[in-house]
Amino acid sequence: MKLPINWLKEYVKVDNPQELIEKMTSIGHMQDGSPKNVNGDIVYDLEIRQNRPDCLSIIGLAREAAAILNKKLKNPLNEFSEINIHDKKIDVTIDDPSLCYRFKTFVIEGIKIQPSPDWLVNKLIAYGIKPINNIIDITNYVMVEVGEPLHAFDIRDITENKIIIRRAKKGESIIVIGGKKVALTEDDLLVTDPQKPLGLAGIIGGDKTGVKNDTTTIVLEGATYNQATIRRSSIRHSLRTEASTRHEKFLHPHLAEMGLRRAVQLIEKLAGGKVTGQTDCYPTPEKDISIAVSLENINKTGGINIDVKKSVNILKSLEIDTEDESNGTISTKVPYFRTDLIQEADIVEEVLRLFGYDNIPERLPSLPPPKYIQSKTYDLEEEIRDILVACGFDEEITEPLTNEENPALNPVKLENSLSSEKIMLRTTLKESLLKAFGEQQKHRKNVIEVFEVGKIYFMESEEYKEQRIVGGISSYKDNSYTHLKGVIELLFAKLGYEYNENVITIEPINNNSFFFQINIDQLLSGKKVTTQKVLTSPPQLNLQDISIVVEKAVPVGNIVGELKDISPLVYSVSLGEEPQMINENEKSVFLHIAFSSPDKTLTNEDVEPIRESIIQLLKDKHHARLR
Amino acid sequence: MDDPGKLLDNLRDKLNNVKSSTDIENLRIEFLGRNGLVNQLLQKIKDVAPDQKKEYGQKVNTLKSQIEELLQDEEKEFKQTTTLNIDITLPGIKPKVGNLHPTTIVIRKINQFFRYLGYSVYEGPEIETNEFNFEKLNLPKDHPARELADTLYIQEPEYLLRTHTSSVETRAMTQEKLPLRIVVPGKVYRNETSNPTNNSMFYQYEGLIVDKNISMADLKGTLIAFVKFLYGQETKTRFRCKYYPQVEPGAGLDVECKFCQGKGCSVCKYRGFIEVLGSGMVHPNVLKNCGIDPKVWSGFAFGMGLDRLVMLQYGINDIRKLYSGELVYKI
Repeated sequence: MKLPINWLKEYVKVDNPQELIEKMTSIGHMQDGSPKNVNGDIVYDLEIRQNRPDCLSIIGLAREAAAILNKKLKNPLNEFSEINIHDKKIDVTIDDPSLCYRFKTFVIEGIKIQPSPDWLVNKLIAYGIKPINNIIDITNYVMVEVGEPLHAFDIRDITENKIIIRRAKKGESIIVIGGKKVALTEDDLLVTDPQKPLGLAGIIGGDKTGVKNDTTTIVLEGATYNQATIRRSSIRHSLRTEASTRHEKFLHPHLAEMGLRRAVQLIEKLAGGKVTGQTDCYPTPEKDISIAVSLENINKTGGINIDVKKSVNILKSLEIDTEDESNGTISTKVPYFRTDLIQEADIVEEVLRLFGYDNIPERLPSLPPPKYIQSKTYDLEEEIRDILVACGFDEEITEPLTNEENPALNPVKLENSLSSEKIMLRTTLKESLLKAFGEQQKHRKNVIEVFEVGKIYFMESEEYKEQRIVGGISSYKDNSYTHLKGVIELLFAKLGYEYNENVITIEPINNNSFFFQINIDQLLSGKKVTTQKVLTSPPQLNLQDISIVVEKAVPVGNIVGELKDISPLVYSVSLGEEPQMINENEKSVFLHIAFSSPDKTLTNEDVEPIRESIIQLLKDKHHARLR
Repeated sequence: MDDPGKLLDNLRDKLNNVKSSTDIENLRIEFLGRNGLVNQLLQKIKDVAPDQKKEYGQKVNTLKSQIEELLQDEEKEFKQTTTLNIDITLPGIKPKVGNLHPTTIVIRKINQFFRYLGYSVYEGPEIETNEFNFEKLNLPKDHPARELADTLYIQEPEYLLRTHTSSVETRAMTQEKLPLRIVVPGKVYRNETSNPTNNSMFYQYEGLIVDKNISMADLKGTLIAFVKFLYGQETKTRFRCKYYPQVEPGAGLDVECKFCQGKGCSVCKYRGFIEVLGSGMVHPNVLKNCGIDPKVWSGFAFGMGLDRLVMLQYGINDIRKLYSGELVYKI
């Protein structure tokens, strides 16, 4: 909201604008950007939050300024007398009262269209609205001053003098001010006469139905609409106007009355007209709101110590009337323009923000920390990251939105994505890691190892599932596969889980690159083992080498595993060298076996029986022959 | 007395054959050790005539310092020659270790602070329900934050991608026993056209405390201590009123812009301050929606976007690069 300081000064005395703006920032209206100089006036821009449409007006901001500066507010809205006109002149019908809460019109005759006086023109220019003629300028002026958007029609354009507020019909369209043709939907709200649309309600008027140079009688309207309807229409048609910015928020129906009266006052003064008709369609008048607030609650919430008198003064400075301050409870009457004040906590905030957030003390909660409820999966994921980073892997985080289908899983699809590349959630980490892998290749690295800890998402028996996984791609010199397997074995050992092939997927990417994925949720339910031993002295080992020849297809990893389990005295089994093909069908395997006992140093005689059974097993099960 | 010159010659001979610093150390023991040759000479003082004892003592002491000097020189020379065999200006060979993603590093740093204050890291689903993402958070049906334009729906209106990590707070308040202190780092989603400052997925970090007698003073103290931890003790802060539907009263915490020292520049959009945290006292409606009695319990919540923090720290100027697999780390 633009705030020209000279305009503000009409209602409240301001000595130091910059100081005021800093205070306004502190009470919730943050300065946005640097002040601009427009024809000698200083114009600030304030960010007004969603719940404060009353501050989308100069009077609203003046009220806040008066309260924070402890000054008197000169409010022109307090000076009206009743308009005693009973002739309607216009019939108003609201089709659906849940979309339009109030629609009020004044018919003003005998108007002379002419340019506005300088004082008005200068104010509009300072705010940023182009002056056009006295009637349009007054409606704009009142919108900015009071916060209620108004619209003036030429009465000649309203067929049968009837106005109907209704939803647009299918296929209906309207040409709005500026000449843009808008194709409407049934969710749009229109101000119409029996024949045609007159304007898109709360957003913009029709192109041909407004004030013209020869207009002498106008229908001035002020209305209150369903905010969501206006907001959606405005978004749907990319029509963001000063009017829609206000109507899409909670404006009180009484503000329509106030805005109209102010406009009538100015029109009579500047355009010479006379009110001859008044129609008010206001099916369910808003009720007054009273809220009781306890002083104890104010002090407990703020962590401060304020007394009743000061609290009451703050509330009164904001035009919130108070009464019955006994028993530490203040009864308040919420003024109509404060549509954000609904319950006690809202009143508490009013007192605290004017008391000053700067005056709230700083402390740390003094209570003991509660029960430790840190997620176990979170800790496990952190451990996985640390281990993989120590193994040389770089971490990636990639966006889970994708368009890559994966036949194995039923994807979770989005209904309303703006981008055709982001229509569903990923069912694998492979696609995004491949992209990361490709990026690394561009940097001409010879060893590339990347990983991501994240989730995949899929549908399973009509339910949405999220599964934690860690995935990665490894391209490591010329032995990527055994290297990657070693990393995964190390990862399981370090995490303290038994190596479990069922939770691991390894797939080749090309000759020397492999993708892997581990299901963390399944890993967590796996068997815990202590694979990381802590030795306090070097083990006494008896070392035995066995060199065998087996058929090409024999899985050497299985042999190693079987030998490890053959006796508790087997300390370790490793390969002396990579298995070598010795002819077309056979390979040599050089087994390196260490024996150890906690009780004694093992001699060759001690281990001979085990060696025998090993050889027996190799011969019987794997048809090995000794070399 | 033996000829001290002989002893020195003997030492010089042996020094010529020294091959390692251990050899030098052995010579030191042989000559200067407790039972070394010099001490043996000194012990012989008892056999020297009384009038010559003084002169004898001086001679041995001179010999001792000569030997020390010889040994020291040799040691120095030895070190130089052995070092000179290596070009010590060659760059070191760095072991290959991996790198964490910058967002992970920043999350860990922030976790560190809040875990010190007794908060646990808490998690929740990314595919959320209308109930936990909106309804319980005091975001009424017609609230602008719920417009189709901002939320990515899986099945409107019931299932969606969480639009903020606050959904995890309503889950924690509904599921866990009180009192409660949690922080929630995580991915959130908005239906936005991606550009250098906005992406449809980004990271938020939120925190929540629910206990007895929690006040705005606790909130202010916690947040200011946090930003000083993050940005340095000298950081100037601004604690101001700000509206969010899920809190009442609401507050924002800003830090003075480092680029202009609060004078206003393009980085801070001429505000002089940069918004860091949104926060406030948990709205009584939110407490009630989660089955908590606001007369007994109170709490505060705070939240921040992480990506801008990460981008500033690592000099990344496009948020899309952070999460597209395009980061390559160089140390």
